[in-house]
Amino acid sequence: MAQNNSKDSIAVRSVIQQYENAWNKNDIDAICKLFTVDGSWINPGGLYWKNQAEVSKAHHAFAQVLSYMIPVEMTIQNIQFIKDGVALVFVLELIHINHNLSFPNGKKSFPGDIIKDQVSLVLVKNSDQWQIKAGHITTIEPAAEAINPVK
Amino acid sequence: MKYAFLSMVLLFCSRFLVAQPTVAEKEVADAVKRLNDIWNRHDMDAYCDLFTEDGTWVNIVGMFWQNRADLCKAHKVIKEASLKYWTAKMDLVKVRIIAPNVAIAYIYETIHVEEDYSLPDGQKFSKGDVSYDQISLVYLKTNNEWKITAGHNTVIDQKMKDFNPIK
Repeated sequence: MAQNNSKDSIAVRSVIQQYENAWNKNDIDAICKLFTVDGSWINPGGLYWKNQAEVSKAHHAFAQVLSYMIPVEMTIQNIQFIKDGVALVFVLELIHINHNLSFPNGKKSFPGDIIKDQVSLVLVKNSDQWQIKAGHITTIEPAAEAINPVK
Repeated sequence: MKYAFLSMVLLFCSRFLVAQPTVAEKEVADAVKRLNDIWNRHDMDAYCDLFTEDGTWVNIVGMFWQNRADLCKAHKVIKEASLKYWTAKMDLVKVRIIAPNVAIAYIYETIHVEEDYSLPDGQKFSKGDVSYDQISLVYLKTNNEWKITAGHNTVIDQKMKDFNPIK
């Protein structure tokens, strides 16, 4: 495994903090600047956006809905430096709903609801700057937590 | 005239050179094929061997297993309860080599239920049911072998697809 130096660890944590701050300001451009030009994203509905331009277009299209999903709390569960300049970051995301929401799949959320997501991120270091190369997110089904074979 | 002709030949050839997958990309594509074969054989020990010791997995309902021992134990339990009743077709969408010996593979997975079964909570599945997943796998090459060091899976919501701003 690559060396985990504290400078990189702090920088990686800072990216996650910036992501949380940008989300909570509904600042889509600031979110997208955290991605590399070829940075990808897979959202909780399984939609795959393959670069920063697509991530930006999609997030701008959903900006109003995302403003109803504030604040978000991101808790880092683990950081693995798998090579020099490559880190895997696992995050538990808690989204606080502040508005009535109806999703295309028929699910509804109401103010006060909390949606839990499991997020996996691949960050890379370019020119001394850590950025998101790939992100993937899955909503945690509340009923599933109880039947997890590994507690 | 001669140079113009040579330039055109080089331009023509370069298109084919760019289109060719690199050795690493081909190796990762082969690793994904092996994963698909092993999964459909329900050979869970071979499946576990595809991961690094610190390999992780996030499944379609957000369960997060943080090492090979845990993901192996969980997959064996879930395989016995439900996954053995279906087969998967894993179509490789893209391989990206993001650093020397590090790759991300994006997979579009089609799930076919092969026989009727029910989960303990009463949820029923019927032969012929089909669903779709989006998987991303981070591969790491160690000891000349590509292994999965992080996997993440999400169900593709067919209703959500109509609202995708990127077509």
